[in-house]
Amino acid sequence: MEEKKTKAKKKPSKKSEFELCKVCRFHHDQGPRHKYFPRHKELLSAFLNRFRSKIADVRFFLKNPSFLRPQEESQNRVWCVFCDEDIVELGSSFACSKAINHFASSEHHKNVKQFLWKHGPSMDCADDFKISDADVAKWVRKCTALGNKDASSCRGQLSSDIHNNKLEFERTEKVQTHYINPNDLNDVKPLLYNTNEYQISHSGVTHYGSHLNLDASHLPPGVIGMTSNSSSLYGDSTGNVHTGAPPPWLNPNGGNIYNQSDITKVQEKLPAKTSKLNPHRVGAAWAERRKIEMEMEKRGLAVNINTDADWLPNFGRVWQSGTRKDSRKEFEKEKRKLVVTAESISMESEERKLVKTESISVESGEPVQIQPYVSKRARPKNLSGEEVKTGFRLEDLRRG
Amino acid sequence: MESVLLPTLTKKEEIDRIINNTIDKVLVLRFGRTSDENCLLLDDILEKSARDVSKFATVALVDVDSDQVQVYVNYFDITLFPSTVFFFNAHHMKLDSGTADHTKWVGKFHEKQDFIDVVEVIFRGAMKGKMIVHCPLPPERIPKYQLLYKDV
Repeated sequence: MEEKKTKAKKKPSKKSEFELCKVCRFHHDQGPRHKYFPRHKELLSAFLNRFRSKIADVRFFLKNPSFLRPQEESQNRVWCVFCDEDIVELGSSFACSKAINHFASSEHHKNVKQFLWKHGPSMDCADDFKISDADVAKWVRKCTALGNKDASSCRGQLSSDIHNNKLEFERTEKVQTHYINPNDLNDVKPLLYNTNEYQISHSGVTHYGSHLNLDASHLPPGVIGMTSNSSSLYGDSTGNVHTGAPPPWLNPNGGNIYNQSDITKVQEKLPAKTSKLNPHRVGAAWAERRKIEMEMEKRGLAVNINTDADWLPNFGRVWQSGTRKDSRKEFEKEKRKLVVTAESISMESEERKLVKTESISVESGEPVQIQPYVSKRARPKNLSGEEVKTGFRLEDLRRG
Repeated sequence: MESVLLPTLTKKEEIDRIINNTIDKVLVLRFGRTSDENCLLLDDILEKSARDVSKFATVALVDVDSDQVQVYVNYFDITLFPSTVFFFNAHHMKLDSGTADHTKWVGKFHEKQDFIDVVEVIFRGAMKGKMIVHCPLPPERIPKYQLLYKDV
């Protein structure tokens, strides 16, 4: 019994083996306790936020599928931290297609759960790193619709430039085997990517980046990247630099990109300087709006009528407690009272004039009681011993 | 020494315009009258320092004797002259100098550098998002005054 007690006492002090924490990037012997340490928690949140932003990019393409150009394939790669593998978009026709499929796979889901169980105190955020099957299905539908639309609009076009030639070959789905010497394939291996099943299964296919390694005489001018479902962004008939077509911004019909409202045009110009200023500075939002307004006024696009006579700046008054808005409301109340009392005083003074002259004519429109003239000394005074005045504070006297 | 003629504002619209057009810079508005000796001393310091602070501050003078300006004199609770009010991006900046009134600077500055220091502190505070800042000047350089509430 005593041995058991001592063993139980010893347990907390028992150190576990050294293991690597992927999040903190060091070895520790704290065991499962390590995930509750504050430093680990901080690093974990930063770690997950970084991956979240990557997933957000992928989600963008999930909602807006777009074609993936072969030259961008190498840039469109994601490292999945949960599965410890690199997802490269080789041969994908749509941006992030492999990434989307990976994030929707059950293996990835399992790895996410495992990671969070091991490193994270809570499993709440697991869904942030997964893509549901329903979303993937929607994406697939959008992709097929996009692919069909593009294929039907561009079939049968011929032009002499390199890119459009490539496009034609891709679209008509002809394997240009007669351009490629099969012997060369055995000798020459592309340097930019590893040979894998994809390469072997698609014999007669050369990757875009490998044109440098192949004998140019066997190839047509330019490079042919063959994929069965590929289509490219060059599907439209607008032309490009090689055909000598005008750039989109000079297009008289107005490319959609530049058909923005004036505000966004101006906003594009402004960020260079404003991005350096602290966005949390006092009146930042007001300053940005005002800059845009001033830019528009300069261009003569909009005349901003800021000449409201009742406008008052944001001010915290001396004798008011509460927010600055309350200060302004207080002031406006006082102003209104002032106006009312000024009107009433002007009416009284008119009445006094009338009483003095003993005329009955009424200008104010209210019934006037005819009273005999009362001298200043004999006039009734208020509690403070002063005559009824304009209602201003006695500070007015100081301003003499 | 160069003296820059500071704009003197006599109308509410002019004050509104200068507040709205001063962006990302401290706006220093001096409320006073040219017949006052303290005001003249303050104006001298403002004129001499205006160029030094021009990158982060704009200075303007407001004549309190003008009728159209009275609404601001009331709104800003200005009872003693000269008074200097600070703005940043149309937001009022408060200055805690150990006096009763944090909403403005009452009186004159001892020297040019004091004014520059105050404006710099206000600018730094404003850029960090603070609407009230502590005055960097020692108490002996801060003018003392008695603030009365309705003559009480």
